Amino acid sequence: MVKITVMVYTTLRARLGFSRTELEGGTVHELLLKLAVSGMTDISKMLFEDDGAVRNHFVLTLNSELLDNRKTKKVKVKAGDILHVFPPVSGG
Amino acid sequence: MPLSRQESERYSRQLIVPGIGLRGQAKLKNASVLVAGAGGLGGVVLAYLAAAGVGRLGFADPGLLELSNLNRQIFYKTRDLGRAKVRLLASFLKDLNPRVRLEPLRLKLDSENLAPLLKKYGLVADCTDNFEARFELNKACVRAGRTLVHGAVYGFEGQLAVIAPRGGPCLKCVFPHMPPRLKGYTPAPGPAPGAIGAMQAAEVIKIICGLPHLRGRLVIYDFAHGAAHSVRLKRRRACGVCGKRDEG
Ligand SMILES: [Zn+2]
Repeated sequence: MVKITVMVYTTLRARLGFSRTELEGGTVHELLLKLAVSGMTDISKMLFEDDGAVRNHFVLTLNSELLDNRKTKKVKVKAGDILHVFPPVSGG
Repeated sequence: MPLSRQESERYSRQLIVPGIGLRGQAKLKNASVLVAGAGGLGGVVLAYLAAAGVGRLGFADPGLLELSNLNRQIFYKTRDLGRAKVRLLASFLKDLNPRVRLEPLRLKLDSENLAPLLKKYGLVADCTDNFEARFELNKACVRAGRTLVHGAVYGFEGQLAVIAPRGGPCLKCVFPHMPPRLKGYTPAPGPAPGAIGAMQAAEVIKIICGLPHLRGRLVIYDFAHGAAHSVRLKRRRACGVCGKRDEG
């Protein structure tokens, strides 16, 4: 278990009540499970499909590299990593 | 083609920018750009491109000016409520730089009208305000081989990317799925589209002049915290837009 920084955007930010947090975990999936219950409101339903996969409109990056939403259980994190979670935005 | 005395003076402050100069100015003059959307992003992009001396500017938007536009669409006037935005913008841009050729298009871009339209422009700026239009534009640009300068905002956050047509990655590679439709309007404080629009214009100018630009990257700007996050885009082999072409 290592501590990493998680940054969230747009609607996630509004629901969680923060834009940045530090969480502990071994894989990206573990971190996202913790993220979902770490804010003002529980965003599990917003973040995950019923089968537990990360909803496919969210983009995940670990240290600025894009991740595959279906493989988050396999991606191990190391201390100091930065995970970003963001959806596309469309305002203009 | 040498610049007239008027032009030399008008563009004097950008002619001294390393990488622009007379050669860049000539490229700008010969360039044509289609700006999709005449809202908070589009108006800013157009203003900077017209001011910079881009030779020909097309801009498409079906809308009429509404009171709720005016917190961010600062190139319109309160007295013009209810009038076609592309016409108003054409008049604003003509006053700003009479030498630029303006092609206002009062229409909603779709898969049918985009294909012939893209043939007439060298480069496209995505300044629309909805996902359907954005993904339609992405697809049409990949097919037509046009670079797409993507800008979008949500509250005090913005996204900027340059999507190069050949070989991807395209917008659909980054965002393969649309998010669920939100209730109500997108929050839009004026300076956010102002800043992202200005950055889109900068990318367009750099691309035309052959300067280093954001190709293949997406940058998320967080104006709420003064931070930026740059992501290297990756091609999705299974992308339905840019993937099949190469394989087939
Ligand atoms: Zn693609």
